[in-house]
Amino acid sequence: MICVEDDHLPRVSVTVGLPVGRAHEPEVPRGLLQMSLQMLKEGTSSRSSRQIAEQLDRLAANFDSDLYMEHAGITLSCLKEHLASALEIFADLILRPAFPQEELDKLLTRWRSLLVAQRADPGFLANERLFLGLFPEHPYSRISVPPEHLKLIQRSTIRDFYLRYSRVKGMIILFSGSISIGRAEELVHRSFPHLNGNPAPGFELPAAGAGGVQVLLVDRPESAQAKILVGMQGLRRADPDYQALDSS
Amino acid sequence: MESTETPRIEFVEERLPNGLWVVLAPNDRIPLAHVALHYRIGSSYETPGSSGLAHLFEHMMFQGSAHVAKNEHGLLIDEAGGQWNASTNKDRTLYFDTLPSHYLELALWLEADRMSSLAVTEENFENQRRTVIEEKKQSYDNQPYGLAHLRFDALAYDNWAYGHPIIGSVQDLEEATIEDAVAFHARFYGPGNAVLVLAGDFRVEDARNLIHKHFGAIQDRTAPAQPDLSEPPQCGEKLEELRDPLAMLPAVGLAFHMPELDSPDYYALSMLSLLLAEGDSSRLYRRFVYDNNWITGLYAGPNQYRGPGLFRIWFQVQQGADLDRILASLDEELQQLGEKQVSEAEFGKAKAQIKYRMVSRMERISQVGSLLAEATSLLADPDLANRQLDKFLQITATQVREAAARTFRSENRSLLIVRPGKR
Repeated sequence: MICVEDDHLPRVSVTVGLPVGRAHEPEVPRGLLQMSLQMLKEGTSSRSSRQIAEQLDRLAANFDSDLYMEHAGITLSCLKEHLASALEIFADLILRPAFPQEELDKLLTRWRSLLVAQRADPGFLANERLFLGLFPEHPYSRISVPPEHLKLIQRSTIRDFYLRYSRVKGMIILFSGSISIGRAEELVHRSFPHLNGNPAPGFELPAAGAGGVQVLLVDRPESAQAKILVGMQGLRRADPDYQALDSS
Repeated sequence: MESTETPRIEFVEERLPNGLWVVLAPNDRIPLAHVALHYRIGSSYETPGSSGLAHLFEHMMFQGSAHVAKNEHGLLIDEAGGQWNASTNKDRTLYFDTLPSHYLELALWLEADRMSSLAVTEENFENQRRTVIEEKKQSYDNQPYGLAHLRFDALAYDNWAYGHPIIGSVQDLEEATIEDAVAFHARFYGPGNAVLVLAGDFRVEDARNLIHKHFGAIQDRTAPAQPDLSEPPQCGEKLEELRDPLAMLPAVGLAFHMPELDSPDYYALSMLSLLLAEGDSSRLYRRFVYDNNWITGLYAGPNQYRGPGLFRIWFQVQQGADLDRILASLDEELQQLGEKQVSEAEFGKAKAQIKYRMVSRMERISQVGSLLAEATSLLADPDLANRQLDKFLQITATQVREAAARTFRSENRSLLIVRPGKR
């Protein structure tokens, strides 16, 4: 647990950081992590989706998730006065999600349209093609979910993926805002009791093959302008030149 | 439950003899300073035939001045480890620099230099004209629903001042002359038409001395005529349909005329927008997005214009959903808000949400600077940044019902429907 106390505003954010990202998903079906995190607020063993929405909104508590290639974050933000109540709900969502089938069906329907709609965005189309070219057959090329994968996603697939990766060693609970470390510890012990970190499932990132110079085109009829992206594989974070390259 | 004390922005203000309105909000929490310079010039000040000039001029302000080379403003701020940018809306043009506080004088010097001695040359003007035309392609012509966003205000407003798009028309941009640009700078870019806000880590006396040193000698030559923003009452529903070859899903925009920023109805309708579309339990989200999967990308709320406002609703229609049914159900929801008072429990949610939102927007010094600058330049009242939350919280459920009944009338509505397909 980490606590960064800053009392200038009566607000607190709590982020649960998970050492799992998009790269940990299977090749097929993709989207398991993002979908499992979105499903957290769609029901727990003691709260329905509607109750969760009502209770969080009454506390003006924002629940959000951020997804990256190798890690993910689930965040609660609220006013200090609502923290204890909001954190109790937050912990319920993370520790006891129910992944109800009815709610999953609704989410899948919403995703179908979103996956269609994002193909209108020239930036998305260009990025999708660029990453496929830079990282062929590598997890880093997965910047979205092919629509045909949705029909392969089942409740058990999502639930099992979440349970496998959500309580592993390396998980972080970060408090920031108007809260002392003592108060944060007290709240964690109350809301996240018996949280054991199991060893994370083994994961080896494959080597990324270099593709040489490529010119890739995406045909987007009716475009008023061309979008041009230039990319190359970068350095690993641990490389001593990483910061120098990043700064340049 | 612990109760939350709402934070106040402590500030001092001063008017320089040349008219520059200065607002200083010292805060030494982190060693950064934010400089926001608002000029009271937005697209509503343009005249027919000169659309886009306010925004084009925003670009010109980075083309160099007496002691600063072309694009050097940004380079110097970057080298100091800072950030800079600008934006133009209907009512104002904003320039800002956020940087380590020991570089505060650099930002003030740069802003003062381009206020007093901008390099308006043929080459710069032509270059930026082309840049803005490309920006229009990038932001509107090449984006799904881009054309709809350009059309929305034109459909809703009869008055050209707010009706025409900020980016302007390509024809007007092509026909703008360097003489227009020189006259524009003289008319609008001077201390008498500007608000300078500093927020962050500085001592008030030091900041005052620096501001007097760099801005004090700039003579004010501005003579901005205030635009006529009055909007005639709408007498019947307006409807327009567009074809958008870049869109994958149909989309709908609705606009209802409403009073201006800081009016009682502005606060009531802002609270109402939270009931409609803030959070997963809000009325429109619950029924239209969640329960029925009819729509996506929902937005509802008042715009932030100093003149006559609009309450806007925008969404995309999910594949296979029945648009007529959606519009009928939306109408039903909006009518109900004007007929039946919301419960105290539901209204309590909106009050909690507005409190969270207003507290959150004070997180960064750049946000504090923007709040003060908007309140000063648009409403001539910097302390409004502190009083706004109380104004929201004083709104009652009865006022919300009455504002909804006044606003959500079919004859007060503009409806824009976008369908995928060739124009």
